[in-house]
Amino acid sequence: MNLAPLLLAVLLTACSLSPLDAARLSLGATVAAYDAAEPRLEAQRIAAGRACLEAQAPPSTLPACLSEVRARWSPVRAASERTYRAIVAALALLHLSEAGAALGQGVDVARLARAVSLAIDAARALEAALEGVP
Amino acid sequence: MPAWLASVLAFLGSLVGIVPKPSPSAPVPEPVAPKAPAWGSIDEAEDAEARKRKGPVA
Repeated sequence: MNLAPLLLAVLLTACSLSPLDAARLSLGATVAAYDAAEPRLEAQRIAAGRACLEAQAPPSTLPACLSEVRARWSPVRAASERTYRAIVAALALLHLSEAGAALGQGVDVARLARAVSLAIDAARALEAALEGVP
Repeated sequence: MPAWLASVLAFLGSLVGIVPKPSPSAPVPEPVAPKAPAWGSIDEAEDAEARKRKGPVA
């Protein structure tokens, strides 16, 4: 997963961007990286399971083979689902902040920045989990 | 101060957020929620395929 857009978004936040614009850029880059990586990960996972299903071994060995594949991929699955939840939570907070700003209320910059950084950290953890899968 | 120097300083200042940007910036696009991961449905499809291959229990 390419994290260069994330770094670019962080850099741009130092260049006179409003907190909402900085959050939009950072989250946009995180969503783009996740959307690019997730289909490939699921395709690899499907291929690993298909190797069990199409093997010449007796059907009684199928459950053990599938269990082994699922155990091997469980860190990636957990990291992917965690990243998705973190992104959705950060997006919800961004929309709430935008609505508040439109009504003239202040933006809780610290809370928004924390939600965005949690999404970015989850995406980094997903990238790290990929390294454990052969 | 010369006009060219004022322009250069305004541009440099916009890079560090001291003065407004010399030119209007494009609006930042709103990020769209990603597609939900489908890991659960992958497992279900495999289980269904495995049951089909095992056949009915005698």
